[in-house]
Order: sequence, then C-alpha cells, then structure tokens
Amino acid sequence: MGDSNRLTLVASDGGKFVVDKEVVQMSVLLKNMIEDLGETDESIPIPNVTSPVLTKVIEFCENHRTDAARTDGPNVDGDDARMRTAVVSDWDRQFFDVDQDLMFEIIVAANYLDIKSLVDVGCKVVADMIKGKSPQEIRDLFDIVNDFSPEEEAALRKENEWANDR
Amino acid sequence: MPSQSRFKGRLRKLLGYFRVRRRLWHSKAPRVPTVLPDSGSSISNAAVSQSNIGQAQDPIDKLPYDILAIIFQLLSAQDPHSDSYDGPLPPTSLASCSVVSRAWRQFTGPFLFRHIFISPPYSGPPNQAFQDFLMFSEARPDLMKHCRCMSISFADDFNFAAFLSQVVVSLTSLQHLTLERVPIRPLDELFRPDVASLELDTLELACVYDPTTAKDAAGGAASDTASDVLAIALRTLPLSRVRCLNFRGSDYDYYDRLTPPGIADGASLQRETPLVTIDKIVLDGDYCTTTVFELLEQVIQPGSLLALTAKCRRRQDLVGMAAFLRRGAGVNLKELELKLTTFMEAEQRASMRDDLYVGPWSTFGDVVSACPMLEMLHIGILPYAIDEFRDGKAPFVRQQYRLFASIADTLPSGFRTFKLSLHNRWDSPHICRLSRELWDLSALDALSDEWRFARFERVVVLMPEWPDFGFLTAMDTAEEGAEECLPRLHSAKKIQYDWEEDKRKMLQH
Repeated sequence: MGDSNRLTLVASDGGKFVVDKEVVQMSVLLKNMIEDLGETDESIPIPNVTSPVLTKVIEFCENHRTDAARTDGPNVDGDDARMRTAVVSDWDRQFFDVDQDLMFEIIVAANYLDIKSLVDVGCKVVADMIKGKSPQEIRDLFDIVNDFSPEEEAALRKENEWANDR
Repeated sequence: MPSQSRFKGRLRKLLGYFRVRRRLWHSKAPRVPTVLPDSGSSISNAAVSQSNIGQAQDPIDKLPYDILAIIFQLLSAQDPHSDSYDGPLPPTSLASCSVVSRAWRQFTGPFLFRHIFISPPYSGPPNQAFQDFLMFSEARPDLMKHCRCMSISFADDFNFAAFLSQVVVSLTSLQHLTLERVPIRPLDELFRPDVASLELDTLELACVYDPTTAKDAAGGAASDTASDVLAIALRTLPLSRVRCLNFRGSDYDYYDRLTPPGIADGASLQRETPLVTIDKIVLDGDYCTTTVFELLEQVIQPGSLLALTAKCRRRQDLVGMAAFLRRGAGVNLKELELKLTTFMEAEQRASMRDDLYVGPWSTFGDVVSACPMLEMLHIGILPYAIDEFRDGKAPFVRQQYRLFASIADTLPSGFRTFKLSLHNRWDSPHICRLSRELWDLSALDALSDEWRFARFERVVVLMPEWPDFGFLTAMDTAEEGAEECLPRLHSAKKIQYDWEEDKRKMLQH
C-alpha cells in the first residue's frame, strides 16, 4: 500500500521519481490530472521530459513549495505585471547556473507542465542574460551567426530609431 | 451489491487514468519553434531558415513561441500608465536583439515597434522627421500594425492635420496616444470616421496650444491658459471613442506660476451630446482648476466617471473639485488619486497666504464624501520646498493636521484600498521630526490596527523615488527612517518603496 501523499512520476527515459503530492501540484497540468484520477497508486508518465530535466524541475518545485501560501507582495494586475514583478532569488539564479541546453529544456518542460513560477523565473533569467548587451555580445552568448550584411544592419538600426525616445 | 460498487469504482479510476494519459500525450508538448507568420520583414525569409541550421543554442531554435514572447516582452518597454508621463523607457536591449540575426528580427519587430516616437531632432530641419516617418509607415505597414503607443511632439509649422490623417490609418492597434506641444485645432482629424476608427484607451494632451489665438504661439502652452486649450479640446474634438482623457501640463509645472483663469471662464461649451465613453480623467498641473472642473461638468455624462486623478496646487481648486464631484460627477467614482503640492520657488511662496495652500484636511472629507462608491483613494503629498526641508525647516506648518482620522470618518462602506505617497527627503537627518510634525505619523501608523481601518483590504504607504534614491546608502537610510517613523506599518509590511526593484538589481550586481 503506497503513501497517499506521494506520487511516482515517470520520465520519458523511464526514470522514476517519488514526489510529494503537494510538490507535484505546482504543475497545473498534473494538479488537474490528479483531481481527475482521485486516489491512485499508479505512476504518472511525463512523456516529454527526460530524467535530468525532471530532476531539476522537481528540485525547483520542492524549493518553492511554500510560495503559493505567500499573500503579501506587490500589486500585480495581469500576466505582464506578474512576469515583470517575478522575483528571481539568489537560489533561483544558482538553480539556472547550468549549461544553456539544460536551461532551455527546463523552461520548455515548465511550460509543458504549466508551472508558472518556473516559467517566469526561467524567462527572467534569459531576459537578464540578454539585457544590456550589444548585438554582437548576444550573438557570442548564444553562438549565433550574423546573417546581415553591414548595409542591412545599418538600415535596420535606422528603422529602430522610430522605436527609441529621442 | 458491494462488489458491484467496487467494480464501478475501479472502472471510474481506469477511465480516469486513460483520460489522464491521453491529456499528457496530447497536451501542449514542447513545440517546434514557430516563426511569426505575418512579420513581413523586408529581408528575405529564405535566409531565416538557413541561419537557424546548426545553431543549437539559439533560443529561437530551442524555445517555443510563447516562451520567446515572454522573454521579449520582458525586454520591451511597458505601456505608459494613463496617469503618468514616465512613458516607455528606451528599449535598448530589444533594439539590440532586433539586429542579431534575421530570425531574431522577425521575432522582435512586433515588440520593438509597439512604441513609436516622432519628434524632430534638436538640429536639422524640424519637419524632416515627420516626412521621414510618413515614408517609413507607408513602407512598413507590417510594423505599424503592432504600434500600441505613439508619442508625437513639437509638430510646429507644418501641415499637422494632413500628417495625422495619413499616419493614423495604419495604426490599427493604437491604444495610447500622446501629443506634446502640438497645435490643438487639427486634432479632430484623428477621429474623423473616414480617416480612422481609432478607439483609444488614453489620449494624452501635453502642453497643446492654439496657434490661431492672437497670442504668440512660439512659446507653446505658456502663452495660452490651460483652460482655454482644454475648452477647445472639449468643444471641438470628437472624443466619443476615448476612454481616458489626460491633460498634462509642463513637466516643470512644480516651478511654474499658476496661470490665471482663461477666456473660457463661465462660457458655455454648447456640446450637442455628452462624452459618454470617457470614464477616466487626469488633470495635471495648471489643468486642475475650478474653471476646468466647471468646463468638464458641461460635457461629462453624470455618473460615467469611474476614475479621477488630479494634481491640486491650491486649496480653492480642491474645493472646486469637491463641488464638481458633489454635483454628480462623483456618484459612481471608484478611484480617486490626489497629488497635492505646494512646492514653489521662494518668490512665489512669499506672495501666498496660508489659506491658499491645500488643506485643511476637512476639504478632503468634502471630496471623499461626494463619492459614495469610492473603493480606492491615493494621496500624494509634496509639501515643502526641498531645500528648506533638507535644512530642517518646516516654514508653513501652522497646525497639526489630522488627515487620516478626518478622512476615515467619511469613507463609504465599499472602500477597500488607501494609498499614501510620501514625497519626501527620506535621507534627511530631520525626516522623522518633520514628518511627525506635518503628517501626524502616529495617526498614520495607527492605520495598521485602528478599528476604523480594519475593513480595508489594503493600506499602502508608498515611498517614491524622490529625490535621491540612486544609492544603496540613501535607500537604506530612507527605509530606516520609515521604520522609525512608522513602526507598526513597517512590521505589518504595509510600506512599499519605489526603488525595491532597483535595489534588488544593485545588490545582485
């Protein structure tokens, strides 16, 4: 007889993770699913997420499991305000201090599992990586080839002036 | 029978399991990155797919569109609030992103061109910028359709009416329009049905002027009285598709003298139909006068106003506002923001009598009691000349104002949120003594537990950025001062600081 407060998640590569139900329910997708299932000993397959990524996702959820209980905070109206005011703690930055491939996979998995706080933090971390950088620094950061000719780039910069408060 | 119910239970569980499995396999699986279908870049799309090959770490290749949209949204400027002119910040990071590669250009264009600014440069032909923009808007309708906020300023000496009528037709998503130091008369072009079907969330008119008056137009709004221009705007503009009207004065109206009432004083606007769509009005600086309130009363549909923001500089204007609200404009008002200032230069203060300053606070009671549906009240106060305050002087305090207690007695039962912005020198060594003397901070601090306020959902004391907040030590000093002056509100975490985000970033770096 299994622990009714814990669930088994199965990653796409077969890796099994026994996790507290409270932690799993940070995923809106899994929360709805558990509500549909009711009491069950069955393991839940997560077909699009590999074990290394699921490990990280569970680590994040376990660290942020009490966040939902917080009531104090800035006044936010709508998704845009929520994203902009999402707080990225030192722990979160440390959490995302991984190679870029894994970082992107964590964000994609969070989006798939519908874990808003992880999506918000992940997007903010990527945005902060880009913020303040020149085009060449961004290319270097993500290993992107500049496929503009110098003339094309100059023309685009000229166009962009309309979007800057001069 | 028991075995039958057990069977039904298992069947239900099994069906649930298959339903769940199906949802997992078919829910939003990680998507193949999407290229915006209608980005309409002037650059060949063939090169886009070519540039993506082999760039494994490019976020454009790795992340689905909705995630990329969040990231670029975070890098883009925020839409301006309808009641402030802080406006969007220059989106430099997004501009950098837009020239990284063709794929990045396609994604970022719609975000970058949400905000467009048209203003002549400091040097060069003044009208060239407007002509250049016309060419740009005709060449790039794909970008124009994403523009939500446009700011046009200093459109002197050229055919502004023709310019407007040509530009606005392409701005199908426009929500916020700011016009600064432009002639008022041609603005009706904006709303002609055959020109465009604009439905604006906010129309902000800043220092607009009337060049047809005999006065010198070269100095802009300074040569016209605010109420003259506002009367023209209310009388002539077909504002039936505008939700929020924002009349902004000079950015430096703290320093300006109040202009005398204009020719519109007591005149009838003779508008055929009331402005039924307008539910929010913002009156800044010189626009907040008793004369202006009387003008508004003639065109606003009684009961249609839901929000009012006003910067009052004289007690008589606060009295005028109370009368305006009492006569019907306040009947459905839910949000009221009052920015109060008596901040003036020394020579202006010398000519002012004490009774001209805002207050006593019983006037607030008159304003609030005229709004039986009020849910949110925000009061911002800047009471002193900064230099004198910094030096520890409080020259105009002649009595203790029981602001908070007097207002609380008049608030309606549906009231939910009280915000107070204390504009102040929070790094002044005299902060606590002066603040206690002026604002009766003990009474304010008692908000946290006084029975009259227990039903409020939120009491927020905002410490704005004024004036020196750029350094960690100043922030810390200010927060220590706030903690010392308002210990109970501090413990209850009811104090917010405008610099919280800046401070967090500074600490991180």
